[in-house]
Amino acid sequence: MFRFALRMAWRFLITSRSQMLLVILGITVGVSIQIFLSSLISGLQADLIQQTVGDAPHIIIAPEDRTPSSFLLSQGNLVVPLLASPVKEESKILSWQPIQKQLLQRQDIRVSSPLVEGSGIVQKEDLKKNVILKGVFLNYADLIYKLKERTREGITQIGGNNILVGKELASDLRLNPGDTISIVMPSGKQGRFIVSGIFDLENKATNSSWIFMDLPTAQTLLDKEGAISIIEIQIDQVFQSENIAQKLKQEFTQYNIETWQTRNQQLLSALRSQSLSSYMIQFFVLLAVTLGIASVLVVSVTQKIREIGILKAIGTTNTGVSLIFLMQGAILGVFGSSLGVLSGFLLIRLFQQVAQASGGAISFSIDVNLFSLLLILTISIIASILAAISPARQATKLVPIEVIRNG
Amino acid sequence: MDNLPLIELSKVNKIYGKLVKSQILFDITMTVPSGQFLVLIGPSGSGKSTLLNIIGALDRPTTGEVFIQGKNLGKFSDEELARFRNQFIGFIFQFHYLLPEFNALENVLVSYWIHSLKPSKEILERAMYLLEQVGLKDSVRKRINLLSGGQQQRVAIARALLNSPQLILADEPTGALDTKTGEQVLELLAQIRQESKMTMIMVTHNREVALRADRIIELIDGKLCKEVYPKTVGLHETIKILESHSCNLEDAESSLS
Repeated sequence: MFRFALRMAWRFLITSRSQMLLVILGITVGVSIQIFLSSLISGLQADLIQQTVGDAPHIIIAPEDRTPSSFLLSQGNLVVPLLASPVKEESKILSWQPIQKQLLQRQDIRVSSPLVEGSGIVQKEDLKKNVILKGVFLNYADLIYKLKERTREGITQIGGNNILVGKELASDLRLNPGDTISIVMPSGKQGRFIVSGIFDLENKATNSSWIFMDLPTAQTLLDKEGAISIIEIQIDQVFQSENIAQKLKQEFTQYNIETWQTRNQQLLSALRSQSLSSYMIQFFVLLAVTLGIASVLVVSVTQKIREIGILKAIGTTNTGVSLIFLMQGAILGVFGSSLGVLSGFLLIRLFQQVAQASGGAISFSIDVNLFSLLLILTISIIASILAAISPARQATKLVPIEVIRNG
Repeated sequence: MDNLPLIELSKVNKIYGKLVKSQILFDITMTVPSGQFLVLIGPSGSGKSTLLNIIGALDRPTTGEVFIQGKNLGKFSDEELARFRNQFIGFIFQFHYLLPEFNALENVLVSYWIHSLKPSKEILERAMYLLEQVGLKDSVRKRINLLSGGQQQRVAIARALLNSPQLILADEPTGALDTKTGEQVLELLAQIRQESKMTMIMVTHNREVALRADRIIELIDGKLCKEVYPKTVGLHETIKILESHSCNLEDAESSLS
């Protein structure tokens, strides 16, 4: 019966060729838009995430805040907040070496880099600028920030009094490799340093305020001898961060473990709503295509009323007749979706070329995900079959003697 | 089984319509023995086609029962009836009712495809043989629309015969054909019937055709009115009975033979 239905469905379709081609074209357009859209969005999102966290720590181990975020002090009858902003005692991790050692042994962590952090003021002649000092071990920090790759001028070196400054900072203070600057701390401490290299982390805020220096040097400057501020961690799969953070929490209970997600809530919710709107568009495209198939097949039941009547009269069961229409849906779905996949690829290629030709070569790669491709293919074929349900039921209801009696 | 009539109708009534009811058949009780060539005649609207459709399991009686080979068709589901039609009955309609999407050979094979897988070599050979028998050896691969009316009706006959049905039901098989072609088709049916000893019930307006039957039943206003066995009573007597204005069946009961 299956074979019979397939044969009938195929013949019914090819005898009304232009109808069939139009429906297939409709499915093709729908599926290719779905593929294009989903690839574009996923490429874009992957790029956004890469840009956001690619060269930033994915997980941070920080000391627990020991100070309450605010506290009240009674003053006569008045109770007033002593300080408007939360008071934070300068927190630090004292015994960080065993932690670092443990982290380096873990398989799920790509790199962990201890960091001493604090702010200061850079002076060069009469130019001054607020900066963030980052005391690191270059071999670890480089794995996160790719400093060696990103040193534009000079050399990547931070031993002793050597420091690395950002591109914007260098141009603001008119610094060149080899120049000497002094850094003044809020505590009054100060030191003289040699600019060994100028980096470009592709982020203006970072480039204009960050200074990398050797960890022990930073410890001295920031009065944190022997201690560090945080440990920065990068992992291979960015979306595994919450999982890994959970495990780290169990291991290092006295510390705060923060993931990039908690620091990028806005980005994540933007990505979520972007995905949602992409799904919505895909859903409605699919719906429109399905309705298109259904309407053509409904019309074809009326067109083929005679044939269906004959087939039923000579013994085709209702199951057989409905199978013919479901098959038509399936055939249209398979052809349309397959062509849709092909033209989806072409559309992506075309998009990339047009973008390139107009000078705005897209900064991210549109990669077609095999899983979502198969998903789209499966869903659209199923939708095509579902579209045939109503016409199939219509065909089932047809009474053969009505057809025979009316000639 | 031999004693059992092939077809047995018991008090078959057919009423169409839900709001405005019109009764087409009244208490039809009759039997048809195996191998008989029965012709149903009667004026338009007398219910002969309806009766044929009920016998052919295309339609169900409103009340009453239909037995074929002792099986009560009323107990069959729609799916079972469809299968039964396919295996047991060959239909030939006034209009050929072929599938324009297929060629002559495929149209013959359709009734096999419906319930079976790939046709065997034997079935293919049988289809070819049948087409040859109906004189269409050279048009086997021709699209249906390229065939003449007579050729199309002959394809339909070959299709009806493919599954070797025990019962052939023909509703004015020559109604849409010119006299000469119609004659050829009738000749063909007669020949097939003689060779295969199939039971055949034919509805016709054509008295010439009716006279060749084993048995003629005339319906008037949904009731059995006359019954003649031309080969028993002779041509002259048959015509006399058919032309008379009174029925020779008081009620359907007496037609049991």
